Amino acid sequence: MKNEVKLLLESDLLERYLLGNVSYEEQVQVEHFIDTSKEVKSAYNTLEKNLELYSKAFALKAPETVLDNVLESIKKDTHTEDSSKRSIPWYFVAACVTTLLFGATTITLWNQNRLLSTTNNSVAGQIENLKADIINTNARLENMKSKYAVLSDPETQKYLINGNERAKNLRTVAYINPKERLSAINVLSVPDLPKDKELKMWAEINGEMVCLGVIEKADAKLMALPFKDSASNYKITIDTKGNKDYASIDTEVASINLNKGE
Amino acid sequence: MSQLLEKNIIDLLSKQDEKGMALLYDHYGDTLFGVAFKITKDEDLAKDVLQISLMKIWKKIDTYDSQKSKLFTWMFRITRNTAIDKIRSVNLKTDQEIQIEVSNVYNLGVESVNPEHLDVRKHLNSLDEKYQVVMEALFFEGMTQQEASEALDIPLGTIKSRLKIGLRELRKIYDPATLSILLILIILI
Repeated sequence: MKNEVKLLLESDLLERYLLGNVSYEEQVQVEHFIDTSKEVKSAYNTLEKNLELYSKAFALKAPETVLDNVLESIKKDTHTEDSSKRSIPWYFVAACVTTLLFGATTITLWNQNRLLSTTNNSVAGQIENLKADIINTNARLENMKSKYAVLSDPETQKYLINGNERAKNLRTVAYINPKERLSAINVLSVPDLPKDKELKMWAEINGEMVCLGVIEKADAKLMALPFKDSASNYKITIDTKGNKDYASIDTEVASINLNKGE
Repeated sequence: MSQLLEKNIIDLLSKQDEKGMALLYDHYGDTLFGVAFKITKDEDLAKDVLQISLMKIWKKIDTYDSQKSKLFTWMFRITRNTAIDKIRSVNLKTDQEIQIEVSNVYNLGVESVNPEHLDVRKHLNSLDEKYQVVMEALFFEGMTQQEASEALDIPLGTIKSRLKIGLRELRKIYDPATLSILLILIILI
């Protein structure tokens, strides 16, 4: 430590530090020695005093105008600082306006985006509905095609069925195509029935009657019937509701004999 | 007394009180102007340097650390550096304009010299010239010791030793203790 102090005092580092001609590292080094060594501290204090005394030897009467100018500059600076504190700078206003415009534009665009998104979802929903409608319509079209294929096929035979005395108003047309195994019935009119009665379609297969279904009133449209391979007769009965087991002769109101062609 | 004055000036300047500047000017204005003139060798430039330096002192007073240096040392550094910058700036401008004019070197009137300082200067003149030359080069001409060694054609070691001896001799001249001993001796004789 003593050697370092000696080296420092012998060098010009302390004098250069006094004049401010040192690097940052040198400054830290000198300040460290001034803080830790009384000898260096004392030498530095002496240098400071000498510098002041030496400088005083060259003192000259300073012009009063310099002080006036300095005080005026200080007043101007103070005034400018006060003014800048009071008035809002133009760039601050510009920044605020820009920020507000940006904010308003952002909100507008966000709203438009939300609206468009809602519209888009609605249109997408409608498209889905239309697709479902198309699928449904196509299915119905296919169904209709299959029904009317029976009518247009040359192998299809047409049977006109009129009711007997118990059902004078019954008029139906049956279409049967043994080759394509298709059968359909078009009910044109049905008689008025008691509440507990209903019209039923039967097929006679090997002497046994098989119920094909109930003929609804005012079903003035073509209905598909289950095709039975070995059916010899188709019969229509007015029967008690719920009976699907047998068809008696008493209840029969119309009949088609396939073997005879009617 | 000096420390109290220093503290008072620093307090006022820190509060941005103009009285602090007026007080500073009263007590240090002449010395700082002398430093500025010694470096620039031109009265107008010295005025500019002093004005700029005082404004720097006013604005940078918050950066002053009394633990690291006396107020005068700090102000001396500012004035010295400002003066050196001014000289460089003027020289650069002169070089650029390619003008060769005789500058108003040493045009300071006798009346502007403070009589108080004449006595101090007389003492300073009692210093051996070889010490004065070295101290002037280092303190007022902005030279490093190496530059002074080259400019004055004196070995670096000699520059260092002359600076130390010069400062020591200066201390003897101004040291109150030395002055007191001299006064006692004069009375006894």
